Amino acid sequence: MLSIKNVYKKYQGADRFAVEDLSLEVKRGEIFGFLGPNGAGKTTTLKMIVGLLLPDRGEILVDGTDVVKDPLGAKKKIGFVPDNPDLYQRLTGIEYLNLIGDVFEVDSRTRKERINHYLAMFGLTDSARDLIQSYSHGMQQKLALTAALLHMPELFVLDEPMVGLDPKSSHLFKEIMREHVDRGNTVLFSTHILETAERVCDRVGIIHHGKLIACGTMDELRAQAGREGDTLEKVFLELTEEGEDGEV
Amino acid sequence: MRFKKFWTVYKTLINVHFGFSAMKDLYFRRRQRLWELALVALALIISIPSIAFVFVNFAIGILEFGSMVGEPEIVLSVSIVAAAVTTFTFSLGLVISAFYFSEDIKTLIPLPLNPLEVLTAKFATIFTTEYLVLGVLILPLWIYYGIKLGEPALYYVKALIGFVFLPVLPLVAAALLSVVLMRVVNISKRKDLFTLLGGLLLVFVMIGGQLYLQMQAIQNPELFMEQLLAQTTNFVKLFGKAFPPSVWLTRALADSGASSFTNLLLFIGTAAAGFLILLLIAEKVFYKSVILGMEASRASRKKAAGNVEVASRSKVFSLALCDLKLFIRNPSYTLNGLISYVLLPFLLVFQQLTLNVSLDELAGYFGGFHPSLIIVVCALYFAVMGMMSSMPSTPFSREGKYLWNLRSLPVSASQAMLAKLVSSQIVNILGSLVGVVAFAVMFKLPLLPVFAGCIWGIVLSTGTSSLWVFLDLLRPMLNWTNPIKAVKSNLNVIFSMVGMLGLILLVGSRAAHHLKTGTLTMMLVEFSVITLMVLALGYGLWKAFGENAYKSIV
Repeated sequence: MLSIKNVYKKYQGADRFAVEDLSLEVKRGEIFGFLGPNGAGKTTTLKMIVGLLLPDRGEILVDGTDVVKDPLGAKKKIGFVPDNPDLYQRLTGIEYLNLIGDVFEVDSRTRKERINHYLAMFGLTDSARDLIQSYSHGMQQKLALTAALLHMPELFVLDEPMVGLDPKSSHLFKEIMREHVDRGNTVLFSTHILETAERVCDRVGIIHHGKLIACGTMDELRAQAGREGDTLEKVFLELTEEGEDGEV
Repeated sequence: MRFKKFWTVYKTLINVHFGFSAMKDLYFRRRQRLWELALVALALIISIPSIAFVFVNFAIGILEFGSMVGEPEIVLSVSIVAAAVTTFTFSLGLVISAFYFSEDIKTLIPLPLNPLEVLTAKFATIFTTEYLVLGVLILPLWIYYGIKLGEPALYYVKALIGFVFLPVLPLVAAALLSVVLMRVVNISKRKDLFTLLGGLLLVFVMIGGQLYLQMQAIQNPELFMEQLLAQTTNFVKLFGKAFPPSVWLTRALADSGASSFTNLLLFIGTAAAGFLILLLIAEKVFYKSVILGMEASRASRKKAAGNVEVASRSKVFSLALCDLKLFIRNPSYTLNGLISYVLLPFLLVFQQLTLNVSLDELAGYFGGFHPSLIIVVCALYFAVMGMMSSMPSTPFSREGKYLWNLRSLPVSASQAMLAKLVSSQIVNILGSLVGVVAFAVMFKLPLLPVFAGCIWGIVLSTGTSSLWVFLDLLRPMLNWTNPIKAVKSNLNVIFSMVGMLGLILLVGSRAAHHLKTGTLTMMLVEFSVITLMVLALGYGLWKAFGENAYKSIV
C-alpha cells in the first residue's frame, strides 16, 4: 500500500539529513506504528508521504502512485491528521467538513451519513455549527479526524493522533483504526505512547537520526533487540540507546 | 519589575515584530530572494530622504509664515501636535493589535513573568516602531529649525530629550482607551463585530472631520481666513489647546534660560507620570482583559435537533467560498480590504463637490468624454480596486499556519490559485460595480461605454489579479503572529502596487498620446493588446511555474 524507497530529506541550512536512506513497506490492511525519539524524522517522513514536503531523493508510492509525480492522485487516497491540527478558526465545524467533502468529491448522501456518524461518535453534533475557534484542542482533534475519514482513505496517516484526546475518545479512535483496516484500508501513525503502539499496531518501525533502525512485528523487534519477552518500551530504549535519559 | 526579564521579552518581541531571525534565515543562511533585500534597501534609500525633503519643505513654509507673525516656533508646535496625533492614531491600532490580536500573548502569559514585564516590553516594542516613524517625520524639521535660527548646541540636546518623551503621552492615551475598549469588547463577546464597527467609526470620524474643515473653508473662504488670521496672534497657544504639553515642549526648545528647563521638566514629568499611571492601571486590568479575550466564546446556540445538513459544491467554488468566508469574518481583513471600495468613490465625489461645481456641470464634463476613454477608465478602475483590496496579493499569506489544510488536499496549484482568484474577484466585481454605478448615475455617463468598461474591467482585473495571486504563491508570508501582518507587512502588496502603477503609466501615456493625435478609437485596440498580454502573462506564469512553486512551499 505504501512503499518508501531510499528517501532522503535535508532541510535548507541543516548539517545533517532529517531523513536518510529510508526504505519502508506498509502492507494493505495493517496498522503500522511509526516510532522514534524527538527529532528522529517521523513528522518529516509523514509530511513527505502526504505531500507537504518534497523528498530530496528517493521514491514514495501510495498504492503505486508516486507522491511527487502525481501528487493529486496520491492525495486522493490519503487522509491526514497532523500532530497539531490548525483548522480554519473562522469556519464552523460543518463548513470545514463540507469543504473537505467537496474537495474529495464525496457525494451528498455518503457525506451526510459519515459526518453524522462521526460527529455523533465524537460528541460533536451540537457544536458542528459553532466556529472552530470556540473548540477545545481535543474537539479540534476530533473534527480533524472526522474530516480525514470523510472520504474513507485507503491510507490513513496520523501524526501523534492520541495527543489531546480524552480516554473515551482515545478508545473510540483505536476502534475506528481497527474498523478502517478491516475494510481493507491501511493506517500509518506516529506515536510516543509505546503502550498504544504495542497494543494496536500489527507492525512497528523505529526511526532514529533519520534512519529506520528496526521494523517488524513485536516479536520480530524483540528478536532484533535480543530482548525476548520484554515490553516494547525496553526494546525501544535498547534500539535507540537513549535509555539513560528516558527521552522517548 | 526585573530589567533582565523585560529585556529578554523586549528583544524577542522586537525580533518577531520586525522578523529579524526570519530575514537572517532567509537572506543570509539560506541565501534566497536576495534581490528583495536589495530592493528594500533601494526603496529605503529613495523614500526616507524623499519624505524628509517633503517635510523640510513643509517646515520652510511654516517657518516663513511663523516669522511673519513673529512666532517662528510655530513649526515646532505644528510638528509636536502632528506627532501627537500621528502617534495616537497609529498607537490605538498598534496597542489593540499587540495586546488583543497578537498570538504571542498566549505564549507569554504562562511564562513566569509578571504583568509589568510583559506590558512594558510590549509598549517598548510599540515605542520602537513609533520612534522609527517620528524620526523620519519630526527630526528633519527640528534640525532645520535649529540650523535656520542658529540655535546653540543645547537646543539639540533638549530636542533629543524631547524626542525621546514625545510619543509617551499620546501612546498613554491610546493605551488607556484600548484597555477600556478591550474590557468592553471582551465582555461583550462580540469582539469581531466591535472591532469592525470601531474601525469603521474611526475612519468615518477622520473623514467627517476632514469634510467639516473643507466645507467650512470652501463655503465661506473669507470668514475662514479671517478667523485663521485673528488667531495668529498666538498660534502656539492655539496648538496647545489640541495637545497642551506641546506648549511646554515648544517653549522648552524655543526659549533659553531657566524657563526653558522648567518647561522641559514639566513635559518629561507629565510624560513619566502618565506612563507610570498607565502601568499601574494596566497591571490591574491587563491580565483580566487579555485572559477574558482568550476565553473561547461558545455560541449559545440551542442544541441541534438531529443530524447536520450538508451541501455539495464544486471543488474550486467550495475553496473560493471558504477563502471568502475567512476573509469576511476577520475584521482586520474586512476593514483593510473593503474600505477602499466605499471610501475611494466617496472621497472622489466629495472632492468634486467641494470644488463648488454643480453636478450638472460635472455631468456635462464627464458625459462629453470619448466613449473609448470611459471604457478604459472603467476597466482600469476594476483592476486598481482589485489591487487595493490586497485580497489577490495575499491569499496564501493569509493562510499562514493553516496552509497545511489546503496543501494536504488533492488540489492542484492551478485549482488553488483559481479558487483564490475567484474569491478575490467576487469581492472586487461587486465592490467595483458599486463605485462605477455611483459615478455613472451621478455624472450621467453614457450607459453603453460604462457597461463595456465593466465587462472589460472584469477581464482586465482577472488578468492583473492572477498575477498578484501567482506572486503570493511564489513568496507567501506564512510566519506571522498577528493576522493583520499578513496584509499590512506583506511586500507582495507593495509589489502589486508597483505593478499596477506601471500598468497605469503605460495606459495613461498611450491615452495621452491618442488624445493629442485624436485617435482615441485606436486606443481601444492598444488596450485590447495590453489586456490580452496581461491575461497571457498570468496564464503563462501559472502554467509554467505554478505547480513547482506550490509544491515547494515549506
